[in-house]
Amino acid sequence: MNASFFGFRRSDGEVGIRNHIVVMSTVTCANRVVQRIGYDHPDVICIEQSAGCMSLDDDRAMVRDVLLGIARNPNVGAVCFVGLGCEQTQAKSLRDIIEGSKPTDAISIQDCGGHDEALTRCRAFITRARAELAHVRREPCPLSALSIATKCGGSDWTSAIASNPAVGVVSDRMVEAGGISLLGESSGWFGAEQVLMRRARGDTVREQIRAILQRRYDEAAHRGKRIDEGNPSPGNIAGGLTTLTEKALGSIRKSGHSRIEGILAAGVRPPGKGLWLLDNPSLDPASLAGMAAAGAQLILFTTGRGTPVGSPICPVIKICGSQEGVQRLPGHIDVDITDIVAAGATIESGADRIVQAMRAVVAGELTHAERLGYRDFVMPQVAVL
Amino acid sequence: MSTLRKVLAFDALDNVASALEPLNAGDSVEALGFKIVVRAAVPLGHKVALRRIAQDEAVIKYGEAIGRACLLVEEGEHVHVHNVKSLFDGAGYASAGEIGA
Repeated sequence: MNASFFGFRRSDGEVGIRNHIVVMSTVTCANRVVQRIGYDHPDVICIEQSAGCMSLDDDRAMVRDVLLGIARNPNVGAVCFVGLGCEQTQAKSLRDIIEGSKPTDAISIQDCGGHDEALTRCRAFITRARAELAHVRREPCPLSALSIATKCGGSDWTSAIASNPAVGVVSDRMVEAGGISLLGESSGWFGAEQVLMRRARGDTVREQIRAILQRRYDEAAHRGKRIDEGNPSPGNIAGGLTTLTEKALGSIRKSGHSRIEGILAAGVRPPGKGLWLLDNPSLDPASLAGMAAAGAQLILFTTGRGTPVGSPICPVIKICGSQEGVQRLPGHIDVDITDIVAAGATIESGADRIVQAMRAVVAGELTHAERLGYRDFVMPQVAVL
Repeated sequence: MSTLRKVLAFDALDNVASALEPLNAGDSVEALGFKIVVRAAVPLGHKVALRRIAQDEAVIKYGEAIGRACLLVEEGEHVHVHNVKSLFDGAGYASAGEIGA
């Protein structure tokens, strides 16, 4: 890997690979204002909420942590919070935390006089943010300033054989270079918990991994469900997956073989470099949201069947090892590594091509998901798989 | 196709390999230094035994036990739900009075 890349350095020393202006609602009641801004300013990243009020304590904390995490993401150059005024997650309190680190504002529909006035204030913010960000230039940054997250979705039999192992090699290289790699989707770890715990940095982290899986196991049990019920699915079994452990091992291959430094709740930033686990949901956009909130600038996404999903904050690079997938959805696959299965290419050579694509995307080349405007966002919830 | 790799194994400890194309009885395949003859059809993406796996012995992929043979598995046999049992039973999570008792 190259020793450096060109990124947007923020006042807090972090480095973005995108220079987004973000307008996001902190509660569902403010979504129409944000939606209107999105129609009128397609280059502004507009994020609507499915939550923000009437939540129990643990979900309320998660909404706040995830919104703040996204606002702090180094790909975000400026952020405006739009709220109603009486909601649990107050736009002003989020702005007060971000203030000083990047251009920010908070708009309350109730305080400013309604929809039209809120739009006027949003537009004023966008004008100010554009002027401030116009001065930010890309500059050389060390590779250790990069944080990637790895994700799989629309998997097929090639995912565990080709694309996940190749992404695992890239993850190990990122860790060796002093960067950060994040592995999410905790419900996918059942069956491979012993392997993850063995790779953990120490007994405290091992116990944290066990406790988080125990919580998810118990939640399913309270609903009278077992984690391994119907898992692997009939489709998995038809594709050759025999056990839950085999499925989980195939999935965690995306994290390579590096030591696991710790495990983080959704919305929490890793306190150090290296490989970290994220306790976040499996639904693709919710998982991607958790990764963006943990500070990832870039997401490596493996797929077999293909999927268009994207993130409002992070470029999502789709990597496919299935000839069928590439043929079916060519406009959604960024890196074709089908020759691992079809022509005897090595996993390492697949990893080299992923790194090559990462270099281009880090430098500003758009992924298919960015080109198509896939800015999917779902707020992670505490009690889902 | 004979020059191409037909199966893929991941770790020196593995006793199964994954089929990169549909395998037929009588096909010769090679992985990790094992040269074996396939005994019965193995669908694309499914596993073939690289050596004999005794009943109750671990089935190993990625260098890890993915399950336990519930029957004797001969070299070259299709390895799947009919001859492998999961090691995951939730016992590690079952608290007193909860499920799994």
